[in-house]
Amino acid sequence: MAVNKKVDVAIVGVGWVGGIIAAELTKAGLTVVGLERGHNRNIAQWQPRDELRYAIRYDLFQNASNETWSFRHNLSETALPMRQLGAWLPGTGIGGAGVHWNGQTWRFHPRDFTIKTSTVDRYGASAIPANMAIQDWGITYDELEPYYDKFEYMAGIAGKAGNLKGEKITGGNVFEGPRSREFPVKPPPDTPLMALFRKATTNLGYHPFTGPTANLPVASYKNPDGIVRGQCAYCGFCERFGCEVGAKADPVGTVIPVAMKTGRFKVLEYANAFMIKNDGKNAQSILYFDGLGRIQEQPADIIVLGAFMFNNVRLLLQSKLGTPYDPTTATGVVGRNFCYQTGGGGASGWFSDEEFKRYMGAGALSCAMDDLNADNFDHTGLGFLGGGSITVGQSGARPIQSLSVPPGTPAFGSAWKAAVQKYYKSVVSVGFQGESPAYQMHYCDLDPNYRDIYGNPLLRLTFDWQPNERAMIAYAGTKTLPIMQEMLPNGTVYKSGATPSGDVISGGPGALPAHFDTTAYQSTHITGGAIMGADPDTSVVNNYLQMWDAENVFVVGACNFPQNAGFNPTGTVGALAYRAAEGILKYHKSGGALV
Amino acid sequence: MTESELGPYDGQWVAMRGDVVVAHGPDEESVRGHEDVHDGDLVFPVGEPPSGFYLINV
Repeated sequence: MAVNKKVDVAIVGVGWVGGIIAAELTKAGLTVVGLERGHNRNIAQWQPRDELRYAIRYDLFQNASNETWSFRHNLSETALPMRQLGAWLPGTGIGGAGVHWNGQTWRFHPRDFTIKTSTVDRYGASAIPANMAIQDWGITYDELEPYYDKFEYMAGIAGKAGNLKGEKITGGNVFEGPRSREFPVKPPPDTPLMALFRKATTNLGYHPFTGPTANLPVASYKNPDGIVRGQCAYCGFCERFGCEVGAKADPVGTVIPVAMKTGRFKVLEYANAFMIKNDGKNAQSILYFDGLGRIQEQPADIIVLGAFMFNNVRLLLQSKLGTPYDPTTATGVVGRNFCYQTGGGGASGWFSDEEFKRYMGAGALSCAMDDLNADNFDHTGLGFLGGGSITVGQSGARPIQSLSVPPGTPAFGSAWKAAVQKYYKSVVSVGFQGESPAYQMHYCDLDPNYRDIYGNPLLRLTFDWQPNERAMIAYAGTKTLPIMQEMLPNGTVYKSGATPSGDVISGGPGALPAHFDTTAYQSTHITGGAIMGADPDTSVVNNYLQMWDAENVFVVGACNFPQNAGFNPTGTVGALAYRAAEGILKYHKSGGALV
Repeated sequence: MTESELGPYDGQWVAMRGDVVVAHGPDEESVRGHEDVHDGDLVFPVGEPPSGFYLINV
C-alpha cells in the first residue's frame, strides 16, 4: 500500500460540495486533495444532445454493476440489490451530480429548518403522526442566509426576490425567507407556457413567480471569483447532460478551476474511498482503491466527506465513525432519517390547437407557486403535514422520452403515432414536488448479505410511502387539476374508458403506489443518514457539519438534511458547503469543537 | 412499528386510521360514506404508478 504525502485537508468526492470546499480552503492557503471515484471531464467532452448515450444509457451516472444499494420496504423484508439504476440517478466523475442537474436553485423556507418546533407551536404535538421523526436542523434560515447568498452569487442564479430584508415583493416568491440582497441575475422572460401558468394561478388567487435558475439567461455573468459564463442556448438538454455551452452553473466550470488555479488543489481520479482510518475520536487518513484496484492511503489533518449522500453514510458505517442507528429503539445516529422526495399529484393537459414549442427549454426554466408548500397554508383538518412546490416547467422535450399522449390512446400503431404528432409540441404538465418527512423506521445500514465489486457491504435502504404523504399527494392533485382547467378551459377531464379527442386533461386526487417502486425514475433528491442538529444523541454533525464524535471529520451534503423539503436540494447543499468551509478554516486555525 | 400492507387495495381508495385500513372502495365518495370511517381518518387513492415529476412529468 502506497501512502501519499500528507495534506491539510482530504475530501471524498469532487462535486458541488468538494469543489466549493476545495476552492474556499485553497484560496485561504490550505493544501487540499480531492478523491474522486470517476474521472476528469470538461465542457469540450460533452457529446451534444445524445439522448441515447446520456439519458437512456446513463453515461454520467454511477455504475450499478460495480456499486449499488439493497432495498427493502420495511424491517421484516429481506433487502435485495438494485441491479440497475431506476428511481434515482447519482452522478459520478469530476463535478458529480452538479454536472447533470437541471439548475433549479431553491432556498428552503425558514419553517423547514424549525419544522418540529413550528409544527408543535401551530398544531400541537398530537398533529405529528406516530413514528414520524421530523426534527429541527440546529441552524435557522437566518443563520444560513449568508451562505445561500454566497452560493447564488458564485453560481450566477437568476430570479427575482420575493422577500428582500423582510419587504415582500410582488412577482417574486412572497413566501420565501428574507434575502439580504437581490438575485445576482434577472430572471428569464416568460415563455408563452409560463405566461399561461402565471395568468391561471393569479386568477385563482395564488402567487406565481419565475423559478430560480442556474441556466444563465443573460449574455454573460462574472462571479466574485472572476469566473465568466455565457448565455443558455435553450437546447433543452440539461438534466442527465453536461451543458455543452457552459451556461448551466456546474462545479467543473465554476469552483474547481478556482481551486486548481491556486496550485494547492490536487484531484486523484479513479480513487474510490472505502475507509476513514480513525481512533474513534480523530481521523488520520482515507483508504481508497485506485484505478488498478490497489489500496492507497491519503493522510490529512482534516477529512471531509463530500460525496453523494449514499457514499458519505456508507463510509461512516464502514469506518465505524459515529454510532449506527437502530430503528427499533430510535437510538444511534449514522443512517437515521433517510428521506426522499414525494412526487405525484400533478395534472396534464393536451392542447389541440395551441403549441408551446416544448423542444426549446432549459432545465430550470419554470414558473412556480409556493402557496401550497411547507406550512404556507393552514393544515388544520387536512390530516397531513407538509406540502410542495407547484411548477410548470419548460425543460425541453427530447425526442425519445417526451412522447406524451393522452390517457386512453393506444400504446402503439397509427393511432399512437397520430397522437404523438398532434400533441408533441402542445402537452403541458403542472407538477407537484412534495416534502419527505423522516420516520423512525426509514434508515440506512450496511447490508448483511450483498457486497460491491470490492467486497464491501452495500448500503441497505429501508423506506416506503407513508399515509401522511399519500394524503398530501391526494390533496395536491385536487389543487393542480383546477390550475390546468384554468389553463385549458375547454379541456375535458379524461375518464377511464373514454376515447380522448380535442383538448384533454388528466388529473384529480393524486396517488402513490402501494409500495415505493425502485425501478421507475422519480427523483435523485435523496437525503439524510448523516443529519445535522443541536444534539449529539440525534445528529451526526453540528451546524458547521463537524462530527460530534470526531472533531477533524466534516460530513457535508444532502445527507445533513434531517428531512427533505418540497424543493430541489442543490441550493441548500451549496449553502451548507460554504458553511462547512468556514467551519473547517476555524477548526484548522484553532481546533476543537466548533459548537 | 407495524406497517400497513396496501398491495391488496391497489387501484382503490382506502381510509386509514393510524396504520390500519378501516375501509376501502372504488371511489372517494363510497369510502368517506362508509360507516367505519370517522373524522380524522386519512382517505386517499392507492396505486398510481410513479412518474417523473419534474423532468418528464406528463
